Amino acid sequence: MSADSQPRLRDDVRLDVNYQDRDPYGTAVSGKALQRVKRDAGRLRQLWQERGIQYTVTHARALLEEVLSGDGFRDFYRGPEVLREERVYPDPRAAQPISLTIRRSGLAPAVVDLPASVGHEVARWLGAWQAGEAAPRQPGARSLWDALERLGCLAPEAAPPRLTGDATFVGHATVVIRVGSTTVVVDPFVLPRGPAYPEGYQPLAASSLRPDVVVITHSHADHFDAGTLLRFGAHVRIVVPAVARESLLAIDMAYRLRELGFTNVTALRWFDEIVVGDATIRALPFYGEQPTTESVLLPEARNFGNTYCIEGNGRRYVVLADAGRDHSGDTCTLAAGIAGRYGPVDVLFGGYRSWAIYPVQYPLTSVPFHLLFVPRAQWTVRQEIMNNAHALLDAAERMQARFVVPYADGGAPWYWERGLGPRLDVREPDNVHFEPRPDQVVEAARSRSAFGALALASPVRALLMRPGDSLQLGADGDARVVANDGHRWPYGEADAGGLTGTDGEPQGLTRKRVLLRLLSWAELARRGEQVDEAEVQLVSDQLRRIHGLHQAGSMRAWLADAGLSSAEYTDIVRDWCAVVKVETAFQQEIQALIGGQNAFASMRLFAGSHSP
Amino acid sequence: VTARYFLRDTVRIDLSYRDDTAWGSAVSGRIDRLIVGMAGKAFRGSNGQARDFLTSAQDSLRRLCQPGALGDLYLRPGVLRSECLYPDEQLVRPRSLVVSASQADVASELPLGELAPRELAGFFVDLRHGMPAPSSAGARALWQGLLNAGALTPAEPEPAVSAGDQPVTFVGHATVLLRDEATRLLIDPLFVADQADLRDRYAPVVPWRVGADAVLITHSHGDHYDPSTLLRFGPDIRLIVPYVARESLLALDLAYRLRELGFRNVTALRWGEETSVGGFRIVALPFYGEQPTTEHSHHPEVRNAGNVYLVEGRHGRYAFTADSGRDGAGDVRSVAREARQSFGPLDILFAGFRNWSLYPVQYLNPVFARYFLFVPPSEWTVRQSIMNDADAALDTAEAWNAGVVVPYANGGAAWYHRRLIGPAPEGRGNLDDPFDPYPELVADRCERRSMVGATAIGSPVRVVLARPGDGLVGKGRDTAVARKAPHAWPYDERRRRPAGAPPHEALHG
Repeated sequence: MSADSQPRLRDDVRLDVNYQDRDPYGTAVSGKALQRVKRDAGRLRQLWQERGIQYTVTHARALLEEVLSGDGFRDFYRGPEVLREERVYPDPRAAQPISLTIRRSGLAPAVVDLPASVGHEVARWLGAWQAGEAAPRQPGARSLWDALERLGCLAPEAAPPRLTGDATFVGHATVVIRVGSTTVVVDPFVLPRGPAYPEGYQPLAASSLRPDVVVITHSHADHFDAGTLLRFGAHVRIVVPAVARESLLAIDMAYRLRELGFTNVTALRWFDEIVVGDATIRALPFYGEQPTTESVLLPEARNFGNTYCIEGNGRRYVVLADAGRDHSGDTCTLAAGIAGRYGPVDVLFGGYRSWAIYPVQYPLTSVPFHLLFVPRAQWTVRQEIMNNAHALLDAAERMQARFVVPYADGGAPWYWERGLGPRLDVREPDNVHFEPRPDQVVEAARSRSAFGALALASPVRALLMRPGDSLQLGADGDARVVANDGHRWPYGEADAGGLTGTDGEPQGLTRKRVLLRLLSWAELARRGEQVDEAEVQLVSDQLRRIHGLHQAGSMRAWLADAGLSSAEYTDIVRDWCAVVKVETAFQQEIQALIGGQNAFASMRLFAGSHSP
Repeated sequence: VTARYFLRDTVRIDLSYRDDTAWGSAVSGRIDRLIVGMAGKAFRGSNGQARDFLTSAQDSLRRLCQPGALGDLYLRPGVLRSECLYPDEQLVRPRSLVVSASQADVASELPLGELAPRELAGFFVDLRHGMPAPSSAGARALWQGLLNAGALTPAEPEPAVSAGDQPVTFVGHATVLLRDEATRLLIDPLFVADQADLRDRYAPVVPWRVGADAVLITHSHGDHYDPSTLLRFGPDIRLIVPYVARESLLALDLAYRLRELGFRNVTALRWGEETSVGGFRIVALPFYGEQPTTEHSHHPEVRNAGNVYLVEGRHGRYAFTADSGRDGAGDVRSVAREARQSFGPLDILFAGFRNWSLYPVQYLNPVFARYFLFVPPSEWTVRQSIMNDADAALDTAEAWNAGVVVPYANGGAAWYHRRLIGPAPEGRGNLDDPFDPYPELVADRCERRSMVGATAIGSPVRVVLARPGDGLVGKGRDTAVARKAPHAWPYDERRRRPAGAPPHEALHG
């Protein structure tokens, strides 16, 4: 039954489920409560505009006293620091799916009502049409089909090619892991292709993911996306975290999926496990991304979530999403337990966003509810609710991970244009507190400690994967990152810190490096110093380890690939040793000038942000 | 013969212990030397330590832990022999004094001979005030030895250089002086300056010249518990120390060790206990961090025992966290949160910020190699950040609702740096060196605790950069530095990163 000639739901259509929400304040699933909280924080917004965010951070105690006892918020509390249960736990039945928003590039978003007879079978019908099934006879379903057809959402479309490799980073928190013949898809959140993105760099389509099982880490919209899940059909196996009771902090995902007509939903508690095909999936604790890292009001109301250990066929993967630490635990402690119970991890996919923010900043974020749960004593205490780059590496080392892949912070234009993750196509100052670049993790792994003047790298290798890249794990313990066709990263690579210029590096800098190599020898000679071969060897070893080329075979392969002879390579390293020696000799002078150099470097950024 | 001689201020009197325990004690440092010696053999032939460091070191570490080397110290894997873990304290006794006077470059070792260790505290306070050659044979031999070593001078010391009369003086490193109209408290007194420092325009505060009614010790590491300094105060000074149930490789039993030297007024405080000195109330709070690992350790029941102190006086409420951080048992940030609920906000938090991001193999040095014994092999490739870093220090200050935080406990003057404590004060190193960061790092982080768009957001807590010798006046957020000769910091303030510059460029420059 080939679907190629049949019309099917086009890959470039984006679906969102809308809810009718009868709760007076609103549930988390409908977005109504979110809007209300943002509105009720209007006084804060006004102050941010008038006096700046710093003012609200410094005067948080007085301001939050005022704002949280004002209209709207006052209703959330039964007494001082006592949350009103009915506000925190709105009745889930108050919100029901009522319509779909259809977005297709070039067209205005359209809202299509869900006929009553389709209400609880949305997954069944959309899944069928995704697979190219013919127009339905059932009248309700038919009217939805007709609406989609009118909007041009149905067309004959070939299935996209299969993804390569052992694992594919789709983007943001979406990862495809192939274990033997079983495909596990984590947190599918797929955005449609569009002409705004480079021709050769487009998002992967939902139809290329082909899950045998989907696992969801937590219910935030960038991890739990009904619009993508509906593409997989009603019968796809979906593993979700068990949610004791739906609250403002966590959607009851099992309930909401069944409500949409998914028939094969499994809610896992921490340390539950299931086997799907070749894959053993273990749900593990999701610590972090709670309102504070310490005590909270109503601690049993959590942002319920799972992290997962996915293994089979001799490989073990862990996905951490937005984990960090909270009053009930720390991902680091968990990580040591994972290595102890299950063994070392091959690849860890881990978030590194940090989210180091003061509680008054919560209404600026996608989790404004968090503010309501913060005890007074912590109103002026910074909360770092997710792992940062070093905390991720702390966890990776405790897991004895071979590779860590920084993820869960966008990574491609279709994410950053909606405010998810940093822009990576232009050089902007890195916000290490909120939207760091994934390079931060690579950088941190390279410089974890110091041994004399030498930076000590982590034994865990950080791999920079771009959305659309696949990972191939070799039998020898090596890993290769390869792009899938049509999904090749088009922007410059970060400065890899190596000796040679990479493709994306400004040539000017490469030329200056060569110039330094040429000039350093004269300076060394003037100082009566030289470079001995042991130093060259040492630096070469460091480089090879950092870049994962410690084995002779992989080193030879790279040299051949780069078109460098062994002698040329050694010459470059030797020259670089001379550069480093001269740099050491000039340490004081460099230190004295570096502040000015940095100030100078901000010229470009300043001009960029003030250009008319 | 009857002429009185005075002990020079700049003489250090380090104790050397006779150690008859099986493996060596932390008191004598023999255990560390033993481990470093074994490590030297295990690492021999491994092509030096720097090369492919962490990965190749694993083989050497496995070799190091074999029988015939460290393996002998364990009853079975992960369980240290009791006599190794708890070296018998009575088998470790003061044997001699190692006297280093700055006039003579070499240290002289003076055996105690017939002098009982318990006479030391009295002997040295007499000597500080001037003492003729004593008549008893033991004391006389030591006196003569000190004279020969150049440690004594017939010249009466000049009057003490004033340390001012402000309520708080940051003496340097972890040493702080608190005072009200009637009482002076010293925290972790350590004096390591030499003659040239005293002559310089920028002079150290000499703790015993200021005097003290009581001394508080946070923990037993040499830069916090310094007998050389304590001996100047005499046997009757009130000493407040952490309670240690049993001396171990990780903690000296300070009460025992001080009484052994003749101190008669020692109070050991358990966590939660309190005492008072004059108008000061002193509460001992848990000391978490600076343990061998941040999580699992072979012997979680054996700790680097310590106290964080909360001190309330007429002029304010202060806390001293020294080298706190987090470990398997707790986190200083939680201590701060709870102490704030119980005792209220602080005027000044003195907070360490050293971080010490080390892999366990880096422990293998003559100062604290014994820490390595407690690290499970699964943690050998795991970086341990056993103390607060700058951000954790600020977390602690915010949780405690401190008016200001003073970064401390990392040297701060040339005389500390010369002894390998803290960074070079004139500022050559990296601001964020993982081992010896500068206090400016805390001020820098304080200004950039969060970010919205390109706008940095600072902490509601203020950082006050106090230099060794600075006084602190005012209360809470209004605390300010009172700086005056001869303790006026002579260096330029280190250049800070300009706004907008990418952090990694400046910090790793």
